[in-house]
Amino acid sequence: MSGQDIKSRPVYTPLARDPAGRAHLLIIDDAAPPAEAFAPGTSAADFPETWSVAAHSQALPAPLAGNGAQAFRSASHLIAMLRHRLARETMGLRLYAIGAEHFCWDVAACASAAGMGRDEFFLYAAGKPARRVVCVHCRTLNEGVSTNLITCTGCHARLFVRDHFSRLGNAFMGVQIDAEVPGETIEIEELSA
Amino acid sequence: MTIAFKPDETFRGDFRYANSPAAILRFPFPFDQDSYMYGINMEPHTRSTMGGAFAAAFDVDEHYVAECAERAAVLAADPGRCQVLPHMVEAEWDTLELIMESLSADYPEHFTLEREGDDWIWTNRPLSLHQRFRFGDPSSLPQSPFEYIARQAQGDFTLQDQRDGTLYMDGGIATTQADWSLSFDLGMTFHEWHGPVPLAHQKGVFDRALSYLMRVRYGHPARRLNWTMTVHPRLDTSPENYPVWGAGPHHFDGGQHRRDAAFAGRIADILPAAALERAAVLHPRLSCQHR
Repeated sequence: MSGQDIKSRPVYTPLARDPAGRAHLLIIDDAAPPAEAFAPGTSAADFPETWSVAAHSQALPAPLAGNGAQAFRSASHLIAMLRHRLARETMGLRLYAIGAEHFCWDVAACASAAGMGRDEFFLYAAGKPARRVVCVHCRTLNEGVSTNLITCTGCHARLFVRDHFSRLGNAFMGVQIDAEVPGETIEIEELSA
Repeated sequence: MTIAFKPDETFRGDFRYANSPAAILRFPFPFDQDSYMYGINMEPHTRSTMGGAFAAAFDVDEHYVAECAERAAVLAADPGRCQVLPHMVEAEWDTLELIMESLSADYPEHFTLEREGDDWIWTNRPLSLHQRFRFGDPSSLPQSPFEYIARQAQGDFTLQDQRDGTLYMDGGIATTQADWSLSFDLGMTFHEWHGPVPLAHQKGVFDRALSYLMRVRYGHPARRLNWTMTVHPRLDTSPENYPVWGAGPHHFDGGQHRRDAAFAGRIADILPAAALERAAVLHPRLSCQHR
C-alpha cells in the first residue's frame, strides 16, 4: 500500500543554502550526513554552523557560540539546546535538519515554537523508514515502524499505517484494519522512504 | 416560529431518532441525481425568506436539544474533540459573538443576548442556560468561549487561520465527523487535512474550494451542503471510536473506509446523519473583523 498519495505526507528535497538567510545552522542526528541529503554542488561544508550528535555523555557543546561545529550528547540533548538557542535568535536564521523523520519534525516543532515560518526551515529525512505512528484509537505512539501493518503496543489493535502525517503531532496515523470485519487483513509491505 | 424539540432522541445505543414530517419537508438536499461525486458546491449563504433550513445564519432544528446532549456526552468521554491553538483566542471570542448574535436574532423566542459594554447575559431556553459573563474574560465562562458556544450549536466547527496562502485548521470541535480526527489534524493546512480524501485532489476540488474560502468576506457567509449516510443515526463516526462503530451496520461516506457498494434503495429511505455543514467560521489573522 505504498503510494497512497496522501497530500499530508511530507516530500523532502535535498538541501541547499537559502540565499535569503542571514545565518545558517545545519542539524544532523548522527555524526555525518549522507551525501544524498544535499543538492548537487552542496555539502555540509557550505553551512557555517553545524550541530551533530556525538552519542557520548561527556560531550560539552556550546549552543550559543555561533559559527563552528558542536556535538551534543544525544538527539534529545540537541533538541533541548535548540529550544534554548532559538529562544535567543533574531530574524534571518535558516535551519536545516537531516536525520530520522521524527527527529526532523522535532526540529521543525522547535522552529515553529520559536515563531519561524515554514519557509525558514528545511528538512531531509534520511535513513531507513522508521516512522512514529500514533494509534488514533488509544493515542499510543508506536516508534520505529517500517511496515504498513503493525500491532499497537498500547491497545493491541492491528493498525494500518495511513500515509497521513501530522506535523504538529509528529506522527503518522494508525487505524485499525479489521474494525469492520474482524481478522480482515492485507499483505504486509515494507514502507518506502 | 417555535420549534418542538425532541430531547429524548439518542444517537447511540437504542438510536431513538426520527424526523417529523415537517423536518423532512425542510430537508435542504434536492437529491436530484442517482449518483454523486465530490463537488465544490459552495454558494453564498443567501437567506431564505420562506423559512426552512436556509432561513437562519446557524440553523436550529427539532434535533437541537438531543444533539447538544450527544455532543456533551462525547466531550465528557474525550475532551480532545474540542481543541484550539493558543494564538486563536480572539477567534474563539469572535465565534461566541457571532453565534450568540445570530441565534438571538434568528430565534428570539429561544435565545436572548443582553449586552452592556463587556458585561453580557446569555439565555438559552431550550438548554435551560442563563449565563452572565464578561466578554473577553475566559474565567467568567464554564468552558473556553469557543467550546462554550459550540456546545450550544448543531454540527461541527473548525477555526481556520489564513496565512502563507492557505488556511490552517488551528481549532475546532468534532463530535459528529465523518471519520476525521481533530486531534490528529489540528494545525494542518487545508490540503493536508483533506489528504486522505480519495479522488477529489486529482479533480482539483480542494484547490478551487480553498480559493473560494479565502475570498469569503466578513459579513458575507458561504455555505456548502455536505452529507454522509449511516445505517443508524450515529453522529459519532470518529476514527477514535471506529473500532466501536465500524463493527456495526456499515457506514457509507467519502472517507477512507468507504465500501464500494452500490447504494441500494432510495436515498429517501436512509436517514441523514449530519445534515448541514454549518457556515464556516473564518478568521483571517489580519481580519477586517473588528469590534
